[in-house]
Amino acid sequence: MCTCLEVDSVLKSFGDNIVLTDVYLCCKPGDIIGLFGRNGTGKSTLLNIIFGTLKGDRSFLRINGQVIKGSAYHTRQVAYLPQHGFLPSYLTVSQVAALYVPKEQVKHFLGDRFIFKSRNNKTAHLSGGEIRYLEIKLILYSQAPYLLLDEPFNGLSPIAAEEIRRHIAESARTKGIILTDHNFREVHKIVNRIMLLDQCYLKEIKDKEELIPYGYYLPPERKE
Amino acid sequence: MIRFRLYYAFFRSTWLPSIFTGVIMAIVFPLTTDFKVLTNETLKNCLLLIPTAGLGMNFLYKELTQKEEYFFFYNQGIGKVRLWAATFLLSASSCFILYQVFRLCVHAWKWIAS
Repeated sequence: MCTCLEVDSVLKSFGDNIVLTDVYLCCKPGDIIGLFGRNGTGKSTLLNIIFGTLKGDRSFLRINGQVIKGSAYHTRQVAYLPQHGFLPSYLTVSQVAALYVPKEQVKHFLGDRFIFKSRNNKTAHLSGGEIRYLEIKLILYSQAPYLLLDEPFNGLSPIAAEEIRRHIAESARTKGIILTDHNFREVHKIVNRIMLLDQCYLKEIKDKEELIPYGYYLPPERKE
Repeated sequence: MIRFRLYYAFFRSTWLPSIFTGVIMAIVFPLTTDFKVLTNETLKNCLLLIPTAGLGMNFLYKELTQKEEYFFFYNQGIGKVRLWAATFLLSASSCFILYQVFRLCVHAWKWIAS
């Protein structure tokens, strides 16, 4: 039995616009997969299909060899950080932590230097960057073995982004992580696999120079 | 226990707007014009409208403006249908209990007055 998350034969279109065709993706614990592609190529769509909040025209999902028939989020095997904020505005940071983080880790979670000073504030009173940092940490502390992060570095300061990269690398020791971001410079430091969505198909990138035509990587002669 | 707290947190977020909507609708659209009966009927209508129309309006409001918050509960394995079903049950039973308490107080008052 494969200890992995596998999504197979994904087909999705919006009206006449086909976004995903025969997409196959396998993520094992220890993988940090960077999913790249131009705007509108279906990165968020694919993550939503895996998580179960969007139904593909055709898709098959297996987690640890078990076929998932309904939405994957019911199994609590997958956690998803959406592009938009998802924290309820009526809860404080401490309340959110108590609802998400295992009891024995709450103190350590709230002791984080970026979270500590705002732990008694309502999430509605936090800045965009603070909310994003909190959301990412909540997902990383989740007990789900597979994490989907949609543009996690959006709105983060360089110091906060560095901290998040460190946390992602730590979490990846026991979890499988798929993340999308346009900020290749941030992402390529931590990913160990790169996938590219192009013209409805998903392909694995073995050499970073294959990303040059897509604008993610500068050709060697332009670096001077 | 955590799952109950999640359901309760969502229920709490709907309670006040539902009460507000239910009360406004019960006052604005009275089902009887007899003033003597009005107070009793108004309260009965309030408690009927809170878990139905009040919650219904709240559902529409959340669907239009706060749809992203559902992901907070999805990540804990709780779907939208279960969330609203639990909220409706909690709301309806709270209103039922409140109505029974009110009736008890009215009977007690009548007994003391006599």
